[in-house]
Amino acid sequence: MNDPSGHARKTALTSYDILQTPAEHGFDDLVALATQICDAPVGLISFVSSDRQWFKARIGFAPCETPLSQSVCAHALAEGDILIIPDLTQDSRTRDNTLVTDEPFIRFYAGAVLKADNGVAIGTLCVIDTVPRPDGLTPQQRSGLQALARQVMSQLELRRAIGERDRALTLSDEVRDALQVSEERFRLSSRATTDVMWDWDREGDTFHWDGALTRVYGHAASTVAPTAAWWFERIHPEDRERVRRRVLGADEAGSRWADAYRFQRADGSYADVLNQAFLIRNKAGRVVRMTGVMLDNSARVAADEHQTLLNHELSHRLKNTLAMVQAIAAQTLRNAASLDDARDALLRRLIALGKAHDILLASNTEQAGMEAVIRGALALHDNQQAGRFRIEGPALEIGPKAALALALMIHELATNAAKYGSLSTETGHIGIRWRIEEADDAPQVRLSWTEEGGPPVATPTRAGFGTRLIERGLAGTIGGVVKLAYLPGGVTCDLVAPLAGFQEKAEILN
Amino acid sequence: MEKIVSKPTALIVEDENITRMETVDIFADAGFEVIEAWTGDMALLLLENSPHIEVVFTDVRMPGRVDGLRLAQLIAQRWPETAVMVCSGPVTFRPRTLPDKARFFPKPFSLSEVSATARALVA
Repeated sequence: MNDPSGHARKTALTSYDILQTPAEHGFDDLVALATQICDAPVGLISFVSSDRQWFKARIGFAPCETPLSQSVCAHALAEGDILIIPDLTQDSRTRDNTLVTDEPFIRFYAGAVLKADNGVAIGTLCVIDTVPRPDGLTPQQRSGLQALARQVMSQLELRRAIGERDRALTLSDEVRDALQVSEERFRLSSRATTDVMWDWDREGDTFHWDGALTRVYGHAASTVAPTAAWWFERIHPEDRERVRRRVLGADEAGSRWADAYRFQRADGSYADVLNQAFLIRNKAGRVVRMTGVMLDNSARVAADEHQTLLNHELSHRLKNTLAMVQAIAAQTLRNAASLDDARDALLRRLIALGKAHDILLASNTEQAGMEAVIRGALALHDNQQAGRFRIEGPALEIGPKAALALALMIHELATNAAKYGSLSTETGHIGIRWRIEEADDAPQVRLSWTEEGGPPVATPTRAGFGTRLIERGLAGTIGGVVKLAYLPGGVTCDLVAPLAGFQEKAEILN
Repeated sequence: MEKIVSKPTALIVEDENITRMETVDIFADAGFEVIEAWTGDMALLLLENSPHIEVVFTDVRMPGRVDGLRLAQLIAQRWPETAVMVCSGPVTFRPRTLPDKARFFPKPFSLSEVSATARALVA
């Protein structure tokens, strides 16, 4: 229905903010009174918009809205004050209306027009019957219906006035919020000078930055547009959609928003930032303003990256350890006299290795004390007898490679001593001594293992993995030279290694 | 008259002693004459001063100026007839940075696979 006054009607309806609102007592009461006065089964307060009529209150009629084609009220708007149709089947405007020809088969209509304060008709207060009334309404019913229609308009005016008053109150809420924002800013401004503050008026879409933006990120004031779009464009393309979605969707309850993203500097590079913001909402709960602080987060991100690097390094070391264990297992199984022997030997070697690892881990320096490593390796063989082991030497921190190799070497020497040497008798004992001495150009460590008081020594017929561990375990990059001797009085083992090789730490990636 | 069949030579480059011991044994079992180095520099010295080395098996990370990757590249340039097998632990290692004739083995490697590959490379 193309109504020339359609625009004016739309404006009026908008100003009353009435369409699609929930039921209200005042309007329900008025429509009830109308049906009583007119003795009718159906009463409606209807508002006519561009494509439908919608009912603020209704009695005896189920739908809350109908298309315009079903609207009788629409015809009333053209009439003037009141429209009365005694028999809807007899009126050319209504005889083909589906509410007339079909359920609920309405027959009588009386509607008093609702007029806005600008004079535009916006709807009706009407009563409807399913039987025709040739005589229409009585004079009292007619004046009553019109009086009630005026009351409906009073209700609308009252509602609108209350809405305006509430908006005025919201404004004072905004003043209070502004004060709170100001206090927040003052508190925030005492923080680090790499913080940049911004203020976004979401309703007017103006976005302001404080001067720190230029100082911290290099953007000259003349190049900064006071819009949210400018901010979004500076966010890294990979982060932009996520940030935009989250900030525009911050309509759940809560007064704060935070996100981390990359923000572009004037020179084109990106900085890792952490952005916190304080949200201000209107009475309806919609976010109307945001005040934010952008913190430079690069230091933290750098720390995270360093952590990742460390994790890679740990992973690498773990793989190296696994490779070493695999090699120990393979070597132990080669030429093993029996599977049982191999299993025992392997388990013990792994225990010795584990112990050395524990000692290394216990210190934060990636080094271990020489004495602690030696005692750790002997733990499996120590029967708590006093005087069994005489361990002497200066305090000396050694690196992880040397610590593991030394632990295995001591373990193998002790294993042999327990099977064939000094540890196989009650009276046998072992001296382990080390010292640091000056050599040609660099200091070196000298360690000696001396067995005494044991059974007569026999040179073993074959050199198994254990002998290899003793003789060659400290070779290679550590640079140790080992001499194993089967002297009549007892087995001796001498190790000489450069101090530098002994103390070498593993590399950390940088 | 006996035909003297000489064994192919393998160079094992690994800085961890026990792992090197086992790798040496694997190649010895596979029929190679084995020599060892524990830094990239040492490996280059041996390559320069030995008659033909058929296979080089190297770890990636090693102390010194020349790591396993650099070693593999240098071998490809200076001794193109020598096959290179590279083994590594770091997760970020990308095989496509290796020269063409190299093979890649993540740590810890399968002993039988290494052995089989070594034999295939010299066959």
